[in-house]
Amino acid sequence: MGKKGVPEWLNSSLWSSSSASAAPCPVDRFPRSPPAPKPEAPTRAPIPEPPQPSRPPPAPVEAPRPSSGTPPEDPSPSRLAQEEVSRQSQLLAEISKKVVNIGELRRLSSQGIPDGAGIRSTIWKLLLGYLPNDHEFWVQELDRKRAQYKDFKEEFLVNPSEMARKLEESTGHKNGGMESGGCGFLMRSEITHDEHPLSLGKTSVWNQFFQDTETIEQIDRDVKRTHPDMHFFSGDTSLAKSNQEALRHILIIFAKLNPGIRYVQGMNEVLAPLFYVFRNDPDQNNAAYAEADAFFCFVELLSGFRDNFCQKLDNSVVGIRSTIAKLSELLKKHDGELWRHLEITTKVNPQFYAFRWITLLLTQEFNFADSLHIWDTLLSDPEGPQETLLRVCCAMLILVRRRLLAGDFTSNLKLLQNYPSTNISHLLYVANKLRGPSAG
Amino acid sequence: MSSRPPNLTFKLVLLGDGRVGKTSLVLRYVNNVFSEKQEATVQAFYLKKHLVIEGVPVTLSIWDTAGQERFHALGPIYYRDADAALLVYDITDNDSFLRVRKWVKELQQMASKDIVMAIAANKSDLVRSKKYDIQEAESYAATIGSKIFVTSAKSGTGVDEVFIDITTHNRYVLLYTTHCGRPHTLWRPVKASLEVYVSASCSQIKMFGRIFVLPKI
Repeated sequence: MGKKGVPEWLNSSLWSSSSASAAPCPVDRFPRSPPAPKPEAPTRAPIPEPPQPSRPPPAPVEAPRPSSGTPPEDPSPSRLAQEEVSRQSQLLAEISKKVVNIGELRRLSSQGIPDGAGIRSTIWKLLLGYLPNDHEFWVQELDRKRAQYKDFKEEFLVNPSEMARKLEESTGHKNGGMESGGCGFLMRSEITHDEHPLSLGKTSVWNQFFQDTETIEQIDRDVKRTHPDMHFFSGDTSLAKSNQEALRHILIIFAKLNPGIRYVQGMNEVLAPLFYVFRNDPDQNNAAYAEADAFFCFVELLSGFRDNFCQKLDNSVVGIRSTIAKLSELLKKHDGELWRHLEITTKVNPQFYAFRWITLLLTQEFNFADSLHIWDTLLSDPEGPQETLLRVCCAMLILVRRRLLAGDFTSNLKLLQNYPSTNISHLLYVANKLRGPSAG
Repeated sequence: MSSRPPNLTFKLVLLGDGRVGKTSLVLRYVNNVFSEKQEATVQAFYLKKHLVIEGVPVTLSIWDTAGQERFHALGPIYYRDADAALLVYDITDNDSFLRVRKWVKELQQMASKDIVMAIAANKSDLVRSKKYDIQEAESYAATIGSKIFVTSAKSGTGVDEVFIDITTHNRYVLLYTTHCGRPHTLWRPVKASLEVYVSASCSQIKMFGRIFVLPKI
């Protein structure tokens, strides 16, 4: 089933009606509960039933965390649904264990991490492998990484004349300079031919510096226009300025450590959610190290994604074209009618809309809070974010299938380039349906 | 024969270095808005604009592309069958003009031979006392048979002019013919000499586009 045409569950009145109307999310009528159009139960129902009755009750760990406060992370304060409360306490219990069961954590967080609990920061760090599973090593590991990041900053964020000066201080100049200091002449410092600013040598630090300058200018310009609608990132406040500075440092260091990719426009958008979540950790110490933590998690996240940013790989099996082709295949498999209408009849090349969906991990298609929810699911997948991402993208197409099937090139492209706001839980539910046995 | 000719659609692509103001130009032209903090474009964006030129209803399908070099390789699908290309650079940044030259070379090799080009020297609002130094750019434009327009997406200066100019440089001919015994009209791009069209069974022609010499019929 699902091989060709439309699988039965697609014809459920649930999304047919929702996609046909222009109302933002009429699916709210079915908050999170699966419509069960198919007799067989979904393999991963979004309602978390307490899965292991044998597990110790999570009650004791709940106490230290305020669960109803208003931490800065909560962008849409709404009363928590019953099941969210239960998932929240399960998540709290899981990350408070001496050794976190990462599989269980993935399972729970794939259904979304409640905004109000202030636990997203810790969970994302665990999901990205930045925090070890064993609590015992957390402090040690964080100290090590944060010290390493400090070294990176010292190494990469100073300009060559600063570097030359430091080099001087630490070497030759001391012996000569100090002893002859009394003669009244200022000492000339030795500059080797290679390290002169006008040197044409490829290895010159200055040559490298000028090349870097271009990258840094690009980073500067893009950092300033990251989420211009959010006070956290944009404006003249000291908060926004220091946050921009942190994004800037991370992107520069990443570019220098990855000369094959350097900086690609849009990386700022992928970095922003990580930094935002870490900087808003209720634990002040963690929040203070958000820059270092975000750097390593950004590297980790991109390691599975880097190839999409790499122009040289565009046409390879791992590059962006191939990733987009996989999305097209996925749609063809699950909804052949829609695929045909989009790509054959109305000639909407998936590259026209999915390029941004994929390279920026859906950060630009929904409001910021919704993007964080999608990321909970993306980061939870043990297969890595890409497979989940493609399913979510495919689900985005399916959710508006009625409108797409009725549309021409222009209206379809406009719809997909300006995706309407939608019920994210429902979107993730549909995406999850695309996994599993029916795909085989 | 209807008095109003059928709709004419052009595909226009904007090309140029990152941050020269391609998106801002398009948004000023299509929606008459401007934002200082326009986010970087990482994926070509599609917009439509309807206008009437010389009594002809024209639809512009505009592709606003991403500027950064990394996205360059994705360019061909946007310009391959384009009727026109608007090349944009930042009037205060010479390097961005070099990028225009690179794009022109690429278009000359890869795009349609008849592609219409114009160059927008954008961000003129940043130049004090309107002392533009565009001589080099002007002489370059002349060598490729196109024109320079000094524009400012911020103030709106020159924006309508460049889009209308580039549109009217597309040369089309409206053929009034009969098809299965019924009157039939259609626009055809003027590529070969006009005789080709005249020899078809048309009784009357209407021209679209600025520079055209009517051949003897």
